[in-house]
Amino acid sequence: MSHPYSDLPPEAFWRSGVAEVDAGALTSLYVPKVRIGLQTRIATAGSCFAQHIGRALRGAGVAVLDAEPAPLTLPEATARAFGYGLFSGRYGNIHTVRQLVQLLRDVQSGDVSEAFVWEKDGRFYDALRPGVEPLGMDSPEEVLFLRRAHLAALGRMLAEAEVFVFTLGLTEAWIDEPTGRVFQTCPGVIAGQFDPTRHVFHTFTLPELRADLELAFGLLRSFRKRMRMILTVSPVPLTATAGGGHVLAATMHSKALLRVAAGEFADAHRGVDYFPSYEIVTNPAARGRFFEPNQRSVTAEAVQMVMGTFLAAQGLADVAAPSPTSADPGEDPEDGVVCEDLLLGAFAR
Amino acid sequence: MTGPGPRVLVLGNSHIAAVKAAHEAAPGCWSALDFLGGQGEALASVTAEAGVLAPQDEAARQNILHLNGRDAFALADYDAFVVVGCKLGIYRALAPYRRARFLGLPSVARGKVGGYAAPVSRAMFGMAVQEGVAACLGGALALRIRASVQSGVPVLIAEQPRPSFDCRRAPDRFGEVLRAERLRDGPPLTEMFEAGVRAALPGITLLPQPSKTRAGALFTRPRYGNGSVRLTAGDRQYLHPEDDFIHANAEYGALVLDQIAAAVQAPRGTGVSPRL
Repeated sequence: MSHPYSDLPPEAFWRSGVAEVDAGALTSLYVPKVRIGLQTRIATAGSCFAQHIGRALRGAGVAVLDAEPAPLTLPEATARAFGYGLFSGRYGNIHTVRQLVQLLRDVQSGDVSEAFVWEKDGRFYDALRPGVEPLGMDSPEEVLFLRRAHLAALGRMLAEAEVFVFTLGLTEAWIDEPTGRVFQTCPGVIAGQFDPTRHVFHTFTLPELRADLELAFGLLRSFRKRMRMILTVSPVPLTATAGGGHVLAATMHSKALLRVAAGEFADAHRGVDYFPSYEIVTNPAARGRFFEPNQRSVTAEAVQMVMGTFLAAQGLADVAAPSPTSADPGEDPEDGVVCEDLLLGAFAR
Repeated sequence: MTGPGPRVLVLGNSHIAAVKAAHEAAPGCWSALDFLGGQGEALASVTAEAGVLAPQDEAARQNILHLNGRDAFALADYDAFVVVGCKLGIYRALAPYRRARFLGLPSVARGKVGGYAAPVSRAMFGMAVQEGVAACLGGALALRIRASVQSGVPVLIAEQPRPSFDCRRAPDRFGEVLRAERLRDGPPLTEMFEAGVRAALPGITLLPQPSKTRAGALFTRPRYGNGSVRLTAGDRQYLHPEDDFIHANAEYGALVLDQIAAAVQAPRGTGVSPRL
């Protein structure tokens, strides 16, 4: 007797699609809707995991844009510590969709404000990307001078970008209540002072995520009319939660929301695609081998797997072998990846 | 090495010639010195092994042997070490200036960042200067010596002279420094360089270019460049071409010797220093 399941391909069944297949050899997991080629001008942004994506795309010869290349002959590690070469702009990690919306609006308006300059030990930091100047700056004026230049450079880059690859990382954020500004890190962690009367913790809900994705997409298309988007969800768990519960539950909650929001948004828009990096890394058939012993950092093998899947599906695997953070299993894949939220781990008792 | 006072080894690339020429012109004027000169990058392979400074590369060894008559110098024979030139100079601040500007520069304050230069933080610019200082021939050599001798032994570095102000005749070769001068960015670049040396070369004393030899913030007065000689093996001196603009002469070298003498507290002799 025929029924809807009788003619399905092997990947439609858990046993033949996952359980009996090597976790590193999944097939048909990703069929691109948004196609890219070597000449496609791509911008990358997002959480720490997005840094792997940008590096791998560059390694494969894809034209990843860089609005702010390191202008000085610094060693690569120093340049990265100063936020160069991590993404298509020197914005540091964009953990939440709201942060992306806020940045795109700032680029549009060019507005900067001294209200978002943090101080620590006589040094000054851009509160909206405090990690990109690890030594701080001399004065609030210097912070604003560099932020203006940053926003101008991003405007030029976004006008060129054909595809914007965004990795959704978190749903938890700290918000400056009077202004509604969302921070990259909790005030006081890198610089600034935490003020419980104005800094409020917030977990973005699914409707908020949906609305922010719509806003972000619209803003991106205000810079370039037919810009397309590829969304991914970072498989990297939360370093810490301030939500009052267990970090494992908070992580699952956050990733579930992000996965749903990204998937639904991609389904609803012809110019938006979802790439399942989250699924590849968290696949139970991998039996945890795609995570380092700290159960948080993603292994070099996993990064290679993710990007190999992406490039193969895009028809770019034969052009150049993907070269993610490291193809050498002996190397730490987190080398060169800059994650401000890791600082929270220092507060663990 | 002869004479009383501290025993000093002076190491350097082509810029050591000015110091050597001054010393040879008035040997009684300063404490006795030994010279370890090396052309080009020869000093890059000089390291201290078992208490002896020697080149590890055969081509460098040949060059140093030819120039100095020996290729090994026992660290214990000296009370102080001075690195001369070796790319440690204002160029270390001008290199990042080619591609970046920071807010403390007068040109930036006047809104003249320029399309080819990216705005960066002062801290990052300083970091780039420090990296360049530590990695350049002179900085790296001084650090190797510092690591090989006891902390009480002075290790000095005499900065490479700024280009002669006559380099205005060669704007294609000196465009960046001329532009910096025109934009009045020289003083903060000098500060950046000197701060970079302090940060990148701990335990090493900078002997800055003698102030009387400077023209503005970024140049050397031409009288201290005219008649500069090449680093050679014998007594015969070969002049640099007139459009060299990079090297200083023996009169300049004499001022550096005075700085060295003051720094290592050597008694000054009665000789007359060269006035060319």
